[in-house]
Amino acid sequence: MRHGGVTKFSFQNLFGPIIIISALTFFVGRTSASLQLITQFTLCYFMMVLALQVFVGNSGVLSFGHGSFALIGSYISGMLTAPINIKGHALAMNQLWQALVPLHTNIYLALLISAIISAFFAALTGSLLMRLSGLSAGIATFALLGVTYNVFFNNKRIGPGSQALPAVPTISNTYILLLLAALAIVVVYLFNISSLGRTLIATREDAMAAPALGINIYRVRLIAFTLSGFLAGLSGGMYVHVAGTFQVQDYYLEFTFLTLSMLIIGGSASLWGALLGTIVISTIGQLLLMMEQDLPIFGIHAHIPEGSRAVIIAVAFVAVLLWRSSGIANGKEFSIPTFWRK
Amino acid sequence: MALLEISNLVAGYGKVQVISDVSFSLEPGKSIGIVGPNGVGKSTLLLTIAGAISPNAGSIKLDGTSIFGMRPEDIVRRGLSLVPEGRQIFSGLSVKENLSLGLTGRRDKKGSHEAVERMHELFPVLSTHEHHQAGMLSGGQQQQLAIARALISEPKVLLLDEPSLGLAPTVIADVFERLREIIHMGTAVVIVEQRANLVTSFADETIVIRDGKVQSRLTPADATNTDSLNRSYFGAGD
Repeated sequence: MRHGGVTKFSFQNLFGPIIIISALTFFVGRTSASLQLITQFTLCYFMMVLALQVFVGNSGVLSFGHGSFALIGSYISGMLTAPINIKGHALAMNQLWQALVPLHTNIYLALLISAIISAFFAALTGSLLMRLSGLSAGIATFALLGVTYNVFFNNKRIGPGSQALPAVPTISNTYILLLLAALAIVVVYLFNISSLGRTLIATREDAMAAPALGINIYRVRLIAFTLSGFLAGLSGGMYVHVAGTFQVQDYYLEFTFLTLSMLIIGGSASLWGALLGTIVISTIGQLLLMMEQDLPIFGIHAHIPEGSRAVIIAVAFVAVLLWRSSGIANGKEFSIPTFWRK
Repeated sequence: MALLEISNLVAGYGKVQVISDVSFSLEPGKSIGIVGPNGVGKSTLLLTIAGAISPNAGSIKLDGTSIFGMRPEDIVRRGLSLVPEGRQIFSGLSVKENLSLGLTGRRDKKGSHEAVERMHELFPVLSTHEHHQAGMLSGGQQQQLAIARALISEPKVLLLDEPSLGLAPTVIADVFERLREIIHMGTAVVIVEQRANLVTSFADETIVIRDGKVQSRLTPADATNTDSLNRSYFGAGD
């Protein structure tokens, strides 16, 4: 009979993904400057997909609202690190509330603050949203994304509004981003195998049976949503320090659907699925982008019309939902294939 | 004083009233069976007592305290557990993890390890398959796991909805033997069953529900009286 369970600690479940992401960052990131930048963005996306895995993957409740937390994380980290003269005088910022102008700190403290405030925002909104399930939860979290986006897009008193905040300092060392991703893997893995993670998984498996065992579904979902908000905020913070500018539009629909696709295609029920989805979609997405721009791939030109990338990823998303709803990882964590073991 | 006391209970789904007037009481270490044709509200009655459905009127008292309208998780902590129809075990989790989830509802967390040991003694099959995926167990083993998972919180009252559903006769006998031991240890048990003969012979008292009301009350002696059972169950001769 098959052995099962989700709460048993396994070195290969934890260190497999860390070794793989480290190896990819090391080998791909050093190939060229453009691939290094792509690797950096991929690490930011991976942080976001991990955030989604903690909540969406374990609870089974779909959230379109995590872009809000990334947006807030990005906004706070960008605003806290952008040069004061840029915030004070840039054309886009001339209506900015003056009290925000002198606020300034270093990148790492800004990242921590952005993640904490995003977690607080997640806890605040989650205290209402976590009472919902199914379609209602999906629509309500989508509304959260819409509200947050519109507040930041239209309000120039708090930020650049529809324009960009330029000159945000960048993190040029990819290994710092890798370190953050590795730490996040450890946190997510330990959460997933904890009694709280197990309880959340139980609510996903059977939301009717869980309360009959004394489980408070609202409480466990709220804790996971808050942790998820922390990681999403960190993801946004990392993103703004890779992009070098803050733009509200970067964290809206495209960002939301891309990161959700990564999670669903990889397999939402496991950390390994989150990593696989990020790697597969980032790789395919990049190759398709090169084809759209008629750039050679290993010396071969294969031009596809502009916009094909989004269509192909969307088709892959639907195909996975139809034929392999548990994603590539099929709910399993990383393990060394048996034929490789002695 | 009765451990569980249900008086004039009214419940349903929205405007549809399924339970219109049900009353019964249960002492510690006793059992009560609930039988009746499909759709008369047997499962609704259990779900209402367990807090999964909000009652409309009447009263539900556990150990003298009203649990009327309380949330299911709070009712579990006060000492009433439900084994739902279809078992509803967490199939992706291991047997051990399923049992651990049952500990969530325990009032005294200190005795958790001993409680797991007791469940292994009562249901040895769970000890054998401790690390196996629960969804891979046989129907009878899953039923034992579902009962153990509810029992591990050491409830004063255990509600079971169709514990024999989908099980072979020999397995049913085994499950009911375990239930007899549980009752002997002092837990009060309420069993909803389609197999009227089985539960009537097993329980100290069996109530027959029809049209959302208590139609009649049977004793174990009635289990062998097919005419009496049919009359109560189907309303023949009314």
